[in-house]
Amino acid sequence: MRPGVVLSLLVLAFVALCVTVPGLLASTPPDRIDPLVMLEPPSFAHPFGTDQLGRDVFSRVVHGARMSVLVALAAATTSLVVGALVGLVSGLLGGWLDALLMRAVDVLLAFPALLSALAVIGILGSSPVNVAVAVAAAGIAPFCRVVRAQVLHVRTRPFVAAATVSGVRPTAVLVRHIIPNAAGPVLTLALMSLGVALLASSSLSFLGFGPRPPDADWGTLASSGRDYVGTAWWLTAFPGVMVVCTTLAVTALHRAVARP
Amino acid sequence: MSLLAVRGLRVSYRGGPPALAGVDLTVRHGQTVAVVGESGSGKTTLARAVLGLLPPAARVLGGSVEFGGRNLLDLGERGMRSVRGRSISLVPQDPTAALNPVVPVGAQVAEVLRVHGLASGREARRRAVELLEVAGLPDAGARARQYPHELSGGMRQRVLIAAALAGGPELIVADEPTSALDPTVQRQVLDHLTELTRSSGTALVLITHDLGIAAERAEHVVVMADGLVIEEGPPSRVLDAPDHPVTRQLVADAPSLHSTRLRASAATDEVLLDVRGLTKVFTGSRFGTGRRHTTAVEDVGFTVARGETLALVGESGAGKSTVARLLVRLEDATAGRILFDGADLAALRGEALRRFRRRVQLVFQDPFTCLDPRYTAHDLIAEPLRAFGLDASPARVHELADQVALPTGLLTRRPGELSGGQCQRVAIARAIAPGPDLLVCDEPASSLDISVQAQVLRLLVDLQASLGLSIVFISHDLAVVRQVADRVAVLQGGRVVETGPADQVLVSPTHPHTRALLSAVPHTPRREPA
Amino acid sequence: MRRAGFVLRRLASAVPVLLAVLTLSFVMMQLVPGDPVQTMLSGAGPAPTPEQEQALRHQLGLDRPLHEQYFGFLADAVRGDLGRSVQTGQPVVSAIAAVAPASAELALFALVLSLVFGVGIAVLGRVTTGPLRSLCHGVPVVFMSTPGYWVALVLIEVFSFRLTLFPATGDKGFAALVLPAVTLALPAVGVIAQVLGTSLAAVDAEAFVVTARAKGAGRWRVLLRHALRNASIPTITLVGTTVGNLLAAAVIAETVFARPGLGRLTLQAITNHDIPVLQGVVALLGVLYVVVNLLVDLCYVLVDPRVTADRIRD
Repeated sequence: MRPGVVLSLLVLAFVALCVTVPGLLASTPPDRIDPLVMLEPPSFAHPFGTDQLGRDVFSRVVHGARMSVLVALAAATTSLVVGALVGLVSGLLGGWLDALLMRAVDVLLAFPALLSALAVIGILGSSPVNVAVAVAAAGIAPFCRVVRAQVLHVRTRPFVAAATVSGVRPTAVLVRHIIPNAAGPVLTLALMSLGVALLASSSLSFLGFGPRPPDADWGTLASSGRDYVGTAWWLTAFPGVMVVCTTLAVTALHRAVARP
Repeated sequence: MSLLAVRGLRVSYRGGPPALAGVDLTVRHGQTVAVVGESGSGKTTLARAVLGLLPPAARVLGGSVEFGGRNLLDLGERGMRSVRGRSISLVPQDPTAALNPVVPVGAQVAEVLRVHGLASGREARRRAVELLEVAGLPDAGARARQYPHELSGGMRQRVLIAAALAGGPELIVADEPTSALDPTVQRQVLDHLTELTRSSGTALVLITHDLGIAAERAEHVVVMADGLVIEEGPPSRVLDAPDHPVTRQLVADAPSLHSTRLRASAATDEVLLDVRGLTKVFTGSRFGTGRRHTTAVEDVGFTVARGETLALVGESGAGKSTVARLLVRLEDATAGRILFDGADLAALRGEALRRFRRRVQLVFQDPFTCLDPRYTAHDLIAEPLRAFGLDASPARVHELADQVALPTGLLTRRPGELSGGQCQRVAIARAIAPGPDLLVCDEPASSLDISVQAQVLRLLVDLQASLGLSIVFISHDLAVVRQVADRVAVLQGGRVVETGPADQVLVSPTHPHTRALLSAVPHTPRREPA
Repeated sequence: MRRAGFVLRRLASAVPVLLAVLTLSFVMMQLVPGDPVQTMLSGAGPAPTPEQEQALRHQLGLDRPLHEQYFGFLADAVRGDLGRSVQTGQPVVSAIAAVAPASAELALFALVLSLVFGVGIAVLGRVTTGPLRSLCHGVPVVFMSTPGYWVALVLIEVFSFRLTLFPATGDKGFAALVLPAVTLALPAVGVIAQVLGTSLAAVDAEAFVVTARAKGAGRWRVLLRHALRNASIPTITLVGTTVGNLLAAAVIAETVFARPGLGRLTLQAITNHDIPVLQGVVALLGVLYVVVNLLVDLCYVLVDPRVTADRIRD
């Protein structure tokens, strides 16, 4: 295994620990206010420093992982499932339904993901669940495209015709030959879309549509440190580093999977 | 004195087994040397090594490539640049992939002149048109401004020949220069290339898998196998009286018009398949541009008796494969009837059609792509048995594997782990598994090496005899057809232009197109007693 | 002549897309929970009387049947009337027109930066060797994995507070444009470098590259004359989508750098449930998409002779 892949897996293992057992990594409760240590720079006691209320930034970042990662995971999974279904139907049935669905996908693709997500937030209002829904909705179109293209491509492969000639029923051809051979690039895209979803959801949180205080994910943590840029860099730097590292790890894995 | 002298050349890819294991090759001024071998013999690696164009994964382990008194291996990239195109040039294999799709062809010829400072600007353009004319491109002045996709395959290869001649090289390396072309075009292009090199005194290294081509055109033949030169000499000696057993096998396996049917015919008088007025029109519809109709097959009719082999021959675009897909109902006919054992196949739908498929099976052209890469050979052979509700036990699968001479130890492997010949055996096992009456074989051996091709053809005629199969055999290669067919139907532009017994059509053809196809078959000088 | 017909046909095929975009924004208005009339009247002052509500409802046409509202909306949109902001009462079109130039300036500068550095990194990644090559292959992924808000905050921290080279906020002068434009451009640089780099590597394995080398062409000639043009189609498609993404990223950049612009207008509209303004932004994006795609298709035709008007992007 290449060192980049090992490093990515280590980062993701750390993030997974943050999500499942944050208390194990950061014993200080994330919302314990301590007026004696307000805005302290990183030290041995507080590796990521403290915020304007004296809360431990390391603990807040570790505890913020759960919300950030779960929202992104939920969004990417939803995009995958809905997009794959639409793409499958479109690619298999063809005809006017395909034309209609693909025009709809064209229209969706006309809008940048972040703006589509913002529009959904505008309709639904702001909450972590709605952020997940918004990011998921914005991420559906690429899956439709890829699944449809894959289905159309695999369908023209000679082994599909060979299975038909061998008397295999159409549904069995679909389940045994078309779907398994079409899945690879789709799962690769899923990995990439997880990274995109993490960036998009943390951006929405940064803009103030995510969790309400005292809950915080990485986006809201970075946002709440904005007023202290220039005086307390650690408030924004560390949550951002976590987003970058996690996304980078996922993207690096995607690259490794896409080009073996 | 020799022009090119390759001595003890050794090359390997990524530290694997050597692709060239100490090759010697000598080419004199103005000489035409044919390098013959099957895939994996190292002939293309040799061609690339002479031009210093080995892929990045390749390493030269030893030896030398002397050209004009210099060892080319010592020149380095910068030094080689002044040799390539100027002293040694290349005619590549696939004319479609070898031309830049977004640059006019004239500019691609002129590039050689510009790169080596032989001409520039208007002068380079004028010379490029001249070269295209010399290479035999009709209306060269107008063609020079066109893009590769606007030219036919044969014209594209002429463009590449013009580019190879442009620098006035002493040596041209032609790597399978015509294997991607139709036989009739292949002959014209090869004739022209050898004529040009002869008249200009240019030496030619002709890399080919086709013994006939080598025999007809070369003054010296070099046979390669497993990265070694196993035999060389004048074509009359090497091909008529080969020393090495591998050469002997290659010569024996090469089909020619002089060969006879591999096995006596068992054709009966009972008509199994009766095709009448078969027509297929493809309709491409695009938004805003209206519909476009292409007639792939028009009013085609033929019959096949029980136990008989009918060959459908023709060049690419003649409609052969479309007929195959219509016969197994992968496509629906636009018009016409396919009467199989008295019933109209064209009228079948749904479950009735599926059940009917038991009786008509198809063997595909490319054995790799017609097998789902995710399943083992065992699963693939069992699939049609299960689909038709037949005995799909391991014993039955092993029995089928035995019938196609596939070692049962290979049944646990997936297509990616099998050779082309082994994959084709799996595909044939699948086809005979449901016990069909008719086998439609669409160029079943054309993507395989000659020795493997011979084995597959032998297997097909043996199975025909033991199972009493009727076969529709589709091929562009008349020499192959000679070995298997009872009767021949010649297709041109979607129509049958001549039909009759193989002995008649292949010996005394009446239609000009059949004659053209026949004259394009290279004449292997060997006449093996049957 | 052929080109003119091509442009006309492309424009004609844009009509359904625009119609769909307008329909989408109409549907969006119907989906929003809450009553726009209540929102408009819920400002300062005494609680509105039912008569006032009724009058406003009538004025906005909200008492008509849904299909009449829809066709009225379409007719207004075609005339360039997208209604008034619920929040400020200003016509939507003039609200957008007021801030559009600032955003256009920002997006254009960012686009130039993305193209120059994206293409530059991809090309460098092909012609260099050793550590520089690895850097050119690794940097795009890092750029793509960095959220825009964090880039903005880091840039402010470093270039405004530490080095005091560029202002942290405002929209006055070129200096104020630099940091927001870099924020916008960074992910685009990553994507362009990545996609073009991959295409260039793929083209390098093509047979015509071997042909060119067999003619004696050097590395730069092969790259510029043969590889780049053949590799550019996916990148051209990408630049088309990048234009929209730059505007999306502007929501964040304009917020962090406190610049007026379309992004902030959009954000305010969402926070205030100002649906007409949001509809206006959606319609503008639809038009922009159509125009950008027309340009992209024209580029295809210029770059690849095989592309003709009726078989584009197949």
